[in-house]
Amino acid sequence: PGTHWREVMEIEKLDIYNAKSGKFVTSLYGLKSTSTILDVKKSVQQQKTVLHPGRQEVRLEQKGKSLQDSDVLQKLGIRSDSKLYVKDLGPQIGWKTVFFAEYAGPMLLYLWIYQRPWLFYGDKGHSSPISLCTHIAAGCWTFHYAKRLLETQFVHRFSHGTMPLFNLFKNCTYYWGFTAYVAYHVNHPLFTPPSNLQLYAALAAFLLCEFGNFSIHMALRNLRPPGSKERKIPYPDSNPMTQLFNAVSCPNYTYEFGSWVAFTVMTQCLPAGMFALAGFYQMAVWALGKHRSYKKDFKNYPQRKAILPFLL
Amino acid sequence: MQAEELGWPTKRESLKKVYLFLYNLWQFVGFIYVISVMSTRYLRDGPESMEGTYEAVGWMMHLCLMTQFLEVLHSLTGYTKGSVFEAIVQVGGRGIIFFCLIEGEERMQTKPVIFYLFLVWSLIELVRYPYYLLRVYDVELSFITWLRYTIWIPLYPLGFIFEGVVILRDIPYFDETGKYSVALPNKWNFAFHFPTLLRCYLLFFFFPAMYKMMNHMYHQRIKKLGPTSWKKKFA
Repeated sequence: PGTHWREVMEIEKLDIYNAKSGKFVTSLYGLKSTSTILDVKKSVQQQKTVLHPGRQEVRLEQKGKSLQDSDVLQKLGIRSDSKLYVKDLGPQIGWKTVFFAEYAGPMLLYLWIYQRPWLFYGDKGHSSPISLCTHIAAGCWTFHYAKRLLETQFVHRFSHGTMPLFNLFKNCTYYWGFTAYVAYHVNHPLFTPPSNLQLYAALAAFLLCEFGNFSIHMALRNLRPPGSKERKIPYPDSNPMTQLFNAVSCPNYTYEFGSWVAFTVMTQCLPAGMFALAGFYQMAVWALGKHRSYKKDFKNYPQRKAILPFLL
Repeated sequence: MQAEELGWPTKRESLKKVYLFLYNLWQFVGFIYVISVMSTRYLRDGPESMEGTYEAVGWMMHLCLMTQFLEVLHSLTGYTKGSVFEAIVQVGGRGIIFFCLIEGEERMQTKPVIFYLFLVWSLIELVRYPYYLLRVYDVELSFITWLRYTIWIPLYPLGFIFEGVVILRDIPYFDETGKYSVALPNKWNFAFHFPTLLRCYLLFFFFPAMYKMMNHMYHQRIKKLGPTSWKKKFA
């Protein structure tokens, strides 16, 4: 009963197959029963240098689940002459690189359009003064993305080191495209701001939601100590903003949506509303997935919704 | 109840089939009408008949294309197989061309491209609807199936091109009338310039869309008819 250590055995030969085609690729030599999947990946890379470990997915079955880098071969039942499947995930790019492109881009692009460049507005660019609302909106937009950049650098802990390169183009198109679309309207010479009451009330809501979102990020960071792979149910901590965990699995997305709704009300701008909705759709998909995975992993998971309290 | 246990279809299934059969039949008849009137007019007046095409059959096209929106619902409710997204793209694309670009601009209605476009659309539908009619009752006539999965090869590119011509020639008209466009300032701080959207479609989406569509039909053809059926004949 339980695990007991056998002596370390040589795994003389390990056969590697291509997960996409099912065909035999090569054999690896010199691994041990205590070697990990990461060792397997490094060994593969020795034969094909372009396949760095982050680009490989190793499986026991051709269409099976991905194995973890830390999995030990002996525990997986792998012996000499066993088969493993490797999938090439394509060119990868680091998460941090992606996030900087996705967040710095919108921030700088918005600030550029805020200057009312000739390229977007022609000669009429400076035909009317910039309203207070437009100034505040530029401030909020910048604040939001600056916060994201700082969080990427200092707060978030990433579970995967890299992501597919194609995602960079897809995501940047989304972020930069919408930035240009919203910025064009809010900074337009013919932009009509709402009443000051609406402006300030929405600004307050925006800042509150930004703080809420940050609070959740901090709580999630503290949930998993560095280097650990332990998964835990998130609960509210001493910060009152984290009480939202009692209502939803992903309050960070709830607050984020709140920020963009506030921004829309602040600017009374339909394109901003479209951006809020598009973001909500994507975040709802992620939240529902996360919620499902929480419920699957934890039998005692509390009664919560995924992203909208009582609704979704 | 007993009948169901014996394997007879439920009343609901039968009614569903009748509905689908009637739907496809109605559409088929509509397009037969369009083709018949267009051919008769052409046989009588030659190319001069093209100018009056919209006047003669536009109303029937309008009816058929309006009813075609039901195809999205058919997909959504599972009455027909096939993806909802595909149905939306097909019906929506045609809808914009017809309802916005043709019905929305009188000067477009008398152009010869309308004759060619209606002709191509009708020919495609004259093959598609009989195929579906038979499929409702799980019948497949190999000739109809072959037509359905082959005739797109000349007709889809032609359709795309004629639609492109309509769009291109409509741009200056919509620039002038400002129809479907929204200008600043307004309460919702929203601007929309329809001609710019049309230009962007032609510049960035026209060829990729045509490529994707053709590729999709090509794969469907292989699935249905087997790889390059002509190769078997000449092998």
